[in-house]
Amino acid sequence: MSSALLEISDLSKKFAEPVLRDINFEVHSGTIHGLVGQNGAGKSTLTNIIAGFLSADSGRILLDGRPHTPKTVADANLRGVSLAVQEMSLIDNLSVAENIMLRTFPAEFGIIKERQLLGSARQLAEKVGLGSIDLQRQVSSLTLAQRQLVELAKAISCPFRLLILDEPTAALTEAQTKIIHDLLRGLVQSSRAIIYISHRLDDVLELCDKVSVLRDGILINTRKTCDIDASWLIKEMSESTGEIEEKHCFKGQKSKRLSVLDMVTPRTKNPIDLTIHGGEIVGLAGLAGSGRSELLKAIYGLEERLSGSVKVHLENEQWLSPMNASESVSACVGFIPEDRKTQGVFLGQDVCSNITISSLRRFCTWPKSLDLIKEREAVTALISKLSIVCSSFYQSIETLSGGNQQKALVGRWLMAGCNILLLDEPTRGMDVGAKAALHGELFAFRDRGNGLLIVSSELEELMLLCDRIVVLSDGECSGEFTRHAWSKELILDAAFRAYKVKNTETFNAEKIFD
Amino acid sequence: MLRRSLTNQRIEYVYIFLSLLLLVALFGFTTDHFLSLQTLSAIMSQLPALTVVTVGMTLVLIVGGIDLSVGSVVALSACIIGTAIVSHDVPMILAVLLGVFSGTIMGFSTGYLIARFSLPAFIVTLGMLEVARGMSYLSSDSQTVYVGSDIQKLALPITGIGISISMIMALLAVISAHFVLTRTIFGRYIIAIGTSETAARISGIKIRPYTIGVFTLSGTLAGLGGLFNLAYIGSADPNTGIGLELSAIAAAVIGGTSLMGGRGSIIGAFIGVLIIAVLQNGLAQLGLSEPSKLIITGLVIIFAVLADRFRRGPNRTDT
Repeated sequence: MSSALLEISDLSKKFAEPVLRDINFEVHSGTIHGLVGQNGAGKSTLTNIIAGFLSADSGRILLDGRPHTPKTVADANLRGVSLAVQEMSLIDNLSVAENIMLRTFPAEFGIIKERQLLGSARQLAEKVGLGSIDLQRQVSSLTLAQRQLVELAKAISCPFRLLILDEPTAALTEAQTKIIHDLLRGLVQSSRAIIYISHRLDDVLELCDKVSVLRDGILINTRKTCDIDASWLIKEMSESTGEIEEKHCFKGQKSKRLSVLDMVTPRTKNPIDLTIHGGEIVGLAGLAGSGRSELLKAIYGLEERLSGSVKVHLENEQWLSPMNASESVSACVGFIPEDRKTQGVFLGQDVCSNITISSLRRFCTWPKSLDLIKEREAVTALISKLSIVCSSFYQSIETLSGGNQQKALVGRWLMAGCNILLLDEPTRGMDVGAKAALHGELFAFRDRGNGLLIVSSELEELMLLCDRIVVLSDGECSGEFTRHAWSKELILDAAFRAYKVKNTETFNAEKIFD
Repeated sequence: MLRRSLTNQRIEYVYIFLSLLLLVALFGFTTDHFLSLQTLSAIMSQLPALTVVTVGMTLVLIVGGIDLSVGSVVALSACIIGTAIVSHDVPMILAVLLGVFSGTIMGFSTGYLIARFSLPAFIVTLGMLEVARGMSYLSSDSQTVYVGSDIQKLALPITGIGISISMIMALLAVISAHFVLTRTIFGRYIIAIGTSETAARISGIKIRPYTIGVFTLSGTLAGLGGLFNLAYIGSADPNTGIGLELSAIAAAVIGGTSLMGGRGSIIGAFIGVLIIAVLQNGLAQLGLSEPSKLIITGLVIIFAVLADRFRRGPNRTDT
């Protein structure tokens, strides 16, 4: 019987409203403890209190049987609490090695020992599967998945008793996730414990020993994972079980909307052809680093194209060939990027101007001034159509939840009259309910005869949404599947194909992260 | 017009305007002659150059840049106008157009360099600051050129209205820039670019023409500032306008403009100009020495940013 490493009793926290109410929570040494709940359920607040970011209003925390009231993150670190956050905390202008070792720089008299720094960083990087990365590279040049792994390496850089991971695998592929899970299992020894927060319920069930469910700031239930399944968790998290009904395929006539011809990008060396029809959702699957995001950006005209072209088909057999993002928009193609906060929405600007930024010409009257009343009417109509939750359209966009921000981005392109939408990780970090709502909008968009191309790390999501899935493997197109002829195994097999050919027997994980 | 009634921006104006009134009241009580027509007309005659330069600066800050060259461009424009009239007998109208146009060219070159080669605005305009200053020495042969009373008519109050042609033009610049920022596509686009260039590009906005456009505007307005400066002094001094860029940045920031880009208001910046002018005059009337005036003005700027931060909530960071 393991003893309780962390004991929380009657913990409460209020911001404007109570976000945590009388939480009683125990984490035992030698275990991985899952924490699940919808966005806003209070998971991050709870872990931030344990890690010293926030302080509780009332209640008691015991770590190793002694009171634990850290005033700062550094305080908590000293007690052996280490946190890897969902909002990435890396410093862009420092190298990978420096970021990993930020908490524990090996130094003498304040002078950094370069060789020791690189050596220790190398060890940690290898542990999280970043072995082949150049440690001197600046973090700003990394992909989201790589950044997430660096974040994790940083979290395990100093000796810890309790490791808190908030969505550590959100940007990772299944293969990467597996490596991380193996690492975590190895890390948990008799005197250590891990708190693991994730929206990926299968991951939680597979990895954790116990799981606790938070709903609206209340800890609803804690169970051993061997006794429960994902549908039980979903039921606990949401009062009503959000059954996802099978969406019917588009019935109308399918005409070519967008074709990609012989596209070559710096990441995808072999020419790729792709066609999107009206009324069709096409998925782009592949491991992180397979070139799917780069291909998507190249199609939109954001990333460099080495050769190849894009044709946007108009009526009467004519077509446009946009070369950059602004021409794509003129050709009624929209793009929703992976990094919603920095590339999608305009933080600090109101909901209204975030939605209309790509369609301002519609509201233009002579002489080139904006008709604000017309704009407001159009935005009001759109907000209610997409049921975006906001108190007013002059509300700052960052006060909206992630799901509502993403809806606003979909709204931006609806407003611009797009009939082709390219999406990169459209539901990353969203809870079950918000995901379903966004999926609904995408289906509705398709059913109006428009075409979509979606990149996602979650295969289940693509299999739910798409009519057709194209698989990339190490920069090559390695398969194409239609709804009735696919299975998870077939798609995964295609995604791993290029790596398998190169390493016949054991597939070399590091290759993937390169 | 209450179309955007009680939006955050409106509330912001109220705060800044109240600070201005407070300052006026303060000087009204502590000095004998502050609340007089003379003071008003003194302030009004100093304002036009700083006002137009600040308008340009605010637009540049909103698009996410900074323009350190404006003070020198003011001098360049003034020297070109002065030299053209005095040494080359160019008709006044033509000379004025030439001077303002020199600002346009400086602004365009700056913007082009920044946008075409993705250079940092801070460095490019720092270079332009030296270039324009050198050019003003060259064009005026390092001498102060006395132009005469004709051009000074611009700065004299028109009888009946009480304000000068310079001031009317400056106010027109404020109103049009406010309109451009709040009611045109150009305005929305520069706010978007200043907030996030990548997000703006993804939204289909071409970055380059807008960046170049804003710097060209700022240069042109600085050129106009040169004219107003010349009209106020009556002579073209190649040393004029030193440090003007800093006053303009200060006025913009007092008026609620963010140095990180994406947020700012022209009306607020104009009130910021008024606050600085009132402060200068009021402190002078209190009999404070030049050094203490500098210290107080500096502290007021810092206080303005502090107040702004607290009004928005202490935890909010501009990322």
